[in-house]
Amino acid sequence: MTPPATRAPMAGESPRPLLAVRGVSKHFAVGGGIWGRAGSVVRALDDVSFEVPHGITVGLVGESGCGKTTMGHTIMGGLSADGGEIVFDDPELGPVDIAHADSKLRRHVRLNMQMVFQDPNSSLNPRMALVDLVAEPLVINRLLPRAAIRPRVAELLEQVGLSPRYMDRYPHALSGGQRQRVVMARALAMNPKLVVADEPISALDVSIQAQTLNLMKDLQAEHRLTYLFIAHDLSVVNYFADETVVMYLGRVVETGPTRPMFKAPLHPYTAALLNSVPQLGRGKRVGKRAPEGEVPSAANPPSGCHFHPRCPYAQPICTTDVPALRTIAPGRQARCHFAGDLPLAASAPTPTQEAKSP
Amino acid sequence: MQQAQSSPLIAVDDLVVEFHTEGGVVRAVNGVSFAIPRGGTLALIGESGCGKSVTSLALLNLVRPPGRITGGTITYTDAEGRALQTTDWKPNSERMRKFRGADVAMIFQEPMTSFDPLFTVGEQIVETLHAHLPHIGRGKARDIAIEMLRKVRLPNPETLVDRYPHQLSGGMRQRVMIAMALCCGPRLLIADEPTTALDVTTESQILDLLRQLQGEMEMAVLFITHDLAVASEIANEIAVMYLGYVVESGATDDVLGNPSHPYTRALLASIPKLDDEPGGRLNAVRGMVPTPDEMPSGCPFHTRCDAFMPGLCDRRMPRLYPCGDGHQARCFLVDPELERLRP
Repeated sequence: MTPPATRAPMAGESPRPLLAVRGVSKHFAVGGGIWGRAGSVVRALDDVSFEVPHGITVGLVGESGCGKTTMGHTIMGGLSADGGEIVFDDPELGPVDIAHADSKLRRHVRLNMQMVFQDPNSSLNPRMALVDLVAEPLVINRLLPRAAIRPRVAELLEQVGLSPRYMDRYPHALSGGQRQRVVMARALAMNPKLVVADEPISALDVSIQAQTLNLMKDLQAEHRLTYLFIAHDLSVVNYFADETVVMYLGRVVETGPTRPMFKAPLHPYTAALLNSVPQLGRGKRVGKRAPEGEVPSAANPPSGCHFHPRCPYAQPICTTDVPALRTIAPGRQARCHFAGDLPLAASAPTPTQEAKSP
Repeated sequence: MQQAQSSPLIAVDDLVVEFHTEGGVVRAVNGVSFAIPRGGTLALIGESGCGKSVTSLALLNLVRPPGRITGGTITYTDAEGRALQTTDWKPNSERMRKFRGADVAMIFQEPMTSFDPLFTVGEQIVETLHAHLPHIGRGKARDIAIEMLRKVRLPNPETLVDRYPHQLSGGMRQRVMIAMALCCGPRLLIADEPTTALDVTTESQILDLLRQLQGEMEMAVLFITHDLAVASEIANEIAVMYLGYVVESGATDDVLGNPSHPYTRALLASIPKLDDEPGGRLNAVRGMVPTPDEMPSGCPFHTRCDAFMPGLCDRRMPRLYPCGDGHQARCFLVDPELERLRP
């Protein structure tokens, strides 16, 4: 894979992004009651914008409650956006705003998008054999004649590294890593362009995580897949994602190519996240390393910049004015009044004592 | 007192825990030995099913039927310097109950399942206190509870003490659980994946807190985790487990900086690191952990090992060979007389 910084559009690749999310918001009403009393509103997504170029992996990171899963569901159509555009570059129709398209068009476009979830156990019906599980999207969309289904499932299982002999087994006979492979096979059944993977490896053991990530990389190369990779583990995102979108309390706080961002973050929250990640070879913890405070409630977020109560660089303006997502460097944006002017630490481990990395 | 300084706080020697199931006897813990010095931190590392949690439950004699401790000893040195064999005590005995909570406390991965949702945080801490100090008055117990909440750096402990668990965030609940575990002043804290369910900034805060409290209370910690990076930041010593065996142990810097067992090496190579250059493939460990009923013969790791020597590793079980000061690995490659062993 070419490094994202030097990535040029390949021959035949359209310069348009595969997916463009523009100013999307999603509000949930909480509280209130049957008498129509005004409850509070949770802005799960607040003016979210980012792009997913063709054929690469974009990581969507943040802590629980930041809206990353809501974003994934909104793209997939499980939730409808309250505002903004979600433009998908359909191979036949060109760019289509799926947030405002009619249901027939939306259905057509969505055949090119698939989702993979965190827990393979809860996404596989225990009473269906693998062949039925993997073939289900083909059957529902009436894409293949009955006779062609078993050969196609065998092919899909082989692509994800499972023996077609397993076809008539049930999910309980498989390990967690194998189940996640079945989920991948099912996602591939429709030949999607975009795969939205929501924490696909979080529920797996350490040694199986690496196998699954390698598989996803191989499949990406073979099928020219584009991934939107929703994750909380920044080490995995660093390895896997070419570009990264960082969210905090429903807002995008920073976007850009992963490696430059992790080396020199522009937003204090990105820096705080990177600093919190436990790392090998950094030596033992001394003193305090974690940022102050907790993620505030999304129902009652702080005024101005959401991060200001925890930000070591907060100024009076941060408590009153919401910063805009500004372009700070080519391809890099940050939602901070002082982005580019702050002495934010790089993620590289500071060598303490002797070098300890294996 | 002289003796007390030299002997470890808790010493596990050749511990065996077996589960008698319909499919036969499964040895979840197989001859595990380690010692934790006063105030020290040992991390038990391994993937699911390696026996790390069962080992920690065995320390408290909490292994439930069909599981049973069938071999080995656990020796605890109490504050007066007496060496006590906790494995001699019956799981339900008064002595064992006193030992749990007062001498050794435990915190778990998911704080929500460890609380009773019907009682306030304060009532639950008071209940723990009363179990070990029955003569303490209610007012005094409440004061201690508030003091403990302050100690784990929770804001406004006077109001928090009357909150219910569901009113707290995940990080706050984990702090309350730590407060509850520490309220009787244990000398060993067993922390079973205490940060796995938490967000990364919260995880970092809890790790900071544990280190600070450990220093303040002169408490030893047995830290159980699957995360090598977390272990590297918190532990003095590490024991890596695989299928019920300790495969490598030693000082953290030695084990992670100079891994001698192929499993430790494979684990270290398979995790993505924050300072990795992106691209390329991860060096995944081949295959998967065998299920306990299909335990491999010989070395338990030979089915996935890159250095597998046919005729040796699948026939004979390697012992723990020393490979440095206090550093040992269960692998024939470390045996200085390897050439004579080769078939």
